[in-house]
Amino acid sequence: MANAWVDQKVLKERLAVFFGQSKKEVALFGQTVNQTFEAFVFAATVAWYNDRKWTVRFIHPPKLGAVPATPKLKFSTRGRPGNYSYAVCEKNNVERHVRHQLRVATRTHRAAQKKPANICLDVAVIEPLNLFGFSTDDYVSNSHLVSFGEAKHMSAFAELVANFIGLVHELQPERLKRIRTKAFLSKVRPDPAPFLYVSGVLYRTAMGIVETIERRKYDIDVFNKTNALSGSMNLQGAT
Amino acid sequence: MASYTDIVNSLPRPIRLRFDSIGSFVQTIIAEQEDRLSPPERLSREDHELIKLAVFAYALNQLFREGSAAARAAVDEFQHLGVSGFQIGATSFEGRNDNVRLGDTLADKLMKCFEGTPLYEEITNARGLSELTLTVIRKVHSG
Repeated sequence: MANAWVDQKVLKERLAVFFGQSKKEVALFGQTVNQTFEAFVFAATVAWYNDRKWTVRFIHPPKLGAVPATPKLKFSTRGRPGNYSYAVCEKNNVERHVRHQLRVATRTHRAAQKKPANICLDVAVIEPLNLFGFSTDDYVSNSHLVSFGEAKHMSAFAELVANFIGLVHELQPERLKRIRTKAFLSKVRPDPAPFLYVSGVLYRTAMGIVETIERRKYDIDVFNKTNALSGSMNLQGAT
Repeated sequence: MASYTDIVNSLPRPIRLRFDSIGSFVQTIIAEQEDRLSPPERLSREDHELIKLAVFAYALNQLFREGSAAARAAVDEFQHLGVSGFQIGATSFEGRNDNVRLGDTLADKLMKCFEGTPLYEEITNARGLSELTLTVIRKVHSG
């Protein structure tokens, strides 16, 4: 029946040729697509500070030379933090470091435990810390974590938002209380709250969970392509 | 003739993983629709393949397009902060270079495969996986 409408044989042949000829390009796209969105979220986090008149500068690994053309971000969760660029934001003698794929201990991790409890965060905002001596498995103490962001290059469904709440519970459980009262919201916040940023939309199921987050007044955010972290740039603005 | 599975399996692993569940998602919708039909009216195995292929192409086209959109937005965001772009491993993203445009380039080539077929319009105009699945089921069923 399908052949009366579409010649499936011809279509499949064309697709086989396309995937055969574009194998290398599709592989490169596949290897970088998630990190590309993470790069956007990293830059949007730095832009959050820049928008609020913090001074921003990038620190690069010595290997890249004194003034490299572009920041170098991590390709995976592996890698020594000192080999990658990060941003330093300063205002009124307060300093924040914004890093990509940084390993941070969970709130309940204890140094004496048999195996470390830590999580590699897509974007981590930390207090100033020199990480040049850190190995790929070393982790930053939870007390240095100011905020963080998770980037997902997809649309959000309920389970994804729920997983993010679990992540916040492990890292900054105090955010999951009735914090966003009117009095709290009337104050200028010094740093962004932990956030989940998806490149697509929020499906109905995800919107339902977000509604309960707002009702419970949790101090976390969920951003997407129509609701951006940084006012200066969003995913829809790029053409 | 390559099957839907052969085509999906030819993708690199990081992309393939995203599409592993699309086939069964579409199959579930087809089964729900077929429950309303008498056996002679039900869709053939070949019809199922075509529907899955259309939905897969829609999702892959979206992924390619959103990949370039994210790369452009990231580059623009970095430019706003005073640097010209960024690197991931050895891959450099600056301005509108080939790496930034890669998703759009692949999306254009993918959609070229559908040119001249009625699926081109359906995939281009679809607003979601479920909607496209139902539309293609209807069109395939009516021949």
